[in-house]
Amino acid sequence: MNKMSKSNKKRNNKRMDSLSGRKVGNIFSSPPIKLNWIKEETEFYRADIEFFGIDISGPSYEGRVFLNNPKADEKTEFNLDNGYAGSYYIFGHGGCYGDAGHCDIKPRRTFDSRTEHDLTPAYKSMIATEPIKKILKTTKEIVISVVPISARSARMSNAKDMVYIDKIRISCYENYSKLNK
Amino acid sequence: MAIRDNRGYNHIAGFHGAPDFYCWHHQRNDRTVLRARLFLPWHRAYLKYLEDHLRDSNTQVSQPWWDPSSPLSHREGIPKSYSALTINRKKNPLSSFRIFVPRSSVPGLPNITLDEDSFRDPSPPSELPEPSIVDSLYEEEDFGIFSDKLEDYHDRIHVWCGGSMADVITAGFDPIFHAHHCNIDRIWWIWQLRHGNSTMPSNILDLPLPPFNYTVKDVLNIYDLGYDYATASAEVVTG
Repeated sequence: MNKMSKSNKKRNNKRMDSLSGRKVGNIFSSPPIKLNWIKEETEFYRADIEFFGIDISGPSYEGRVFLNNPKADEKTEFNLDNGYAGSYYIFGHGGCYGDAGHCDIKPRRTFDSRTEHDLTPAYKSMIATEPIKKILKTTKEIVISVVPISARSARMSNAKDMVYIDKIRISCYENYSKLNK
Repeated sequence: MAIRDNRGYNHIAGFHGAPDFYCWHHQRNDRTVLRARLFLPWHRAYLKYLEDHLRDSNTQVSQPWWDPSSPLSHREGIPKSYSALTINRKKNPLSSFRIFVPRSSVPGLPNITLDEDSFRDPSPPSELPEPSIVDSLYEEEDFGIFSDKLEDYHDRIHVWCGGSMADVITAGFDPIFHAHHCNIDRIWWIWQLRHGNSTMPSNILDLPLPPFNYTVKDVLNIYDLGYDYATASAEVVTG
C-alpha cells in the first residue's frame, strides 16, 4: 500500500474542495519509475501504464493520472504540458455490508466453490504513448500522480484516502511488424 | 409483486450487490496473477435472467438500453423516462426504487439494514463520455483489452450517475442500472459481430456464472438466448 509523505498530507488537507459536488481525495504519488533501459523515445510506438492491485472497497471515483507533475490537482487541465496521461474509473464497493471478517480478502480455498473475493483488488491500464515520449526527452524517471475525484453522493464519497495501488508498471512496445523491413 | 417474492425486483436486484454480491467486476488479479474476465458474461446472464422474469409477468416487455454517449444524453443527462418523478400523476417506477434488505435477526450479527429509496446525483451531462470513446472500443481486436476498456467506460457511467448507482452495494436496485448494462451488453454484441469470440481465453468458457444456470459459452450468442437489440420497433393490433 502507498504511504503518503508528510508534505503530501499537508498539501492534501488543503484540497478537500468540492468539484460540482464531487470530492477530491488525497493525491497518490508513486515512487519514481526508472526507464533507463530506453535509449531513445523513438524506440517504441506504444507505451502503457498498468495499475495492479487497486483497492475497490471504498467509494467510486475517477482517477486522473498525471506524469511528473507534483502540482497536479483537481484544477489541472488535461493536456500534455501538464503531463496528463488519462483517467481510469473505479466502480467502488461503497464500504462494508456484512458480518465481521467478510471484508478480509483471502485466497480461494480448494473446496470453496465461490469465485474470488468481491474485494479482490482491480487492474487497470491505459495507453500513454505521447505523454511518456514527451517526458523521455528530458528525463528517464517518471513519477505518477493520481488525483481521485469521487462520485457525487456515494456512500463513502467524503473519504480522503481513496487510492491504494500495489504496483504500477510502464511498458513500451516496439512495432514488431516493422522490424524486418 | 410481494417484496419477499423470489420473482420480485427486490430479490433479483439483490443478486448484484447487497445482500448476495454475486456480481463480477474488474479483472480478478489476486494481486499477482491475472485471472478471468467475467464482467461481460456475468452481466449478460443477469440481464437475461431479469428479462425472463419480466416476461413471466408480461410477455410484451423488453428492456431498453441507455446510451450515455448519445447527443440526447449530452443534452439531458439521465433519460426523461427515468428522471421524471411522475407519469400520469403516479410515481414513476423507473425514477427510484425502495431498497429493502432486512437486517439479520440472529443475535450477534451486525444490525445492518438497507431501507431507503434509491437515488441519483448525476454530474453535468457535459461530463458524459463522447461517442468517439465507444468507437475506439470497436477497434480493439483482443477480447481482454476490449473487456477492460469497456468496463472502464462502464465504471465511468456509475461514477457519473452518483448516488445509489455509485456503490456496488446498491447500484443493482436503481432501475437505470439495467438500461446502462443493456447498453454495455449491446456494445459487447456489436464488438462480437465484428471480431468474433476467437480471442476469448478458452479456459473461461466453461466457468459457471452463479447464481444463473449458465456458463460463459452459454451466453456468447444473444440469438441463442432469444434476444436482439432493435434500434426501434412499433406494432399495431390487427386482430
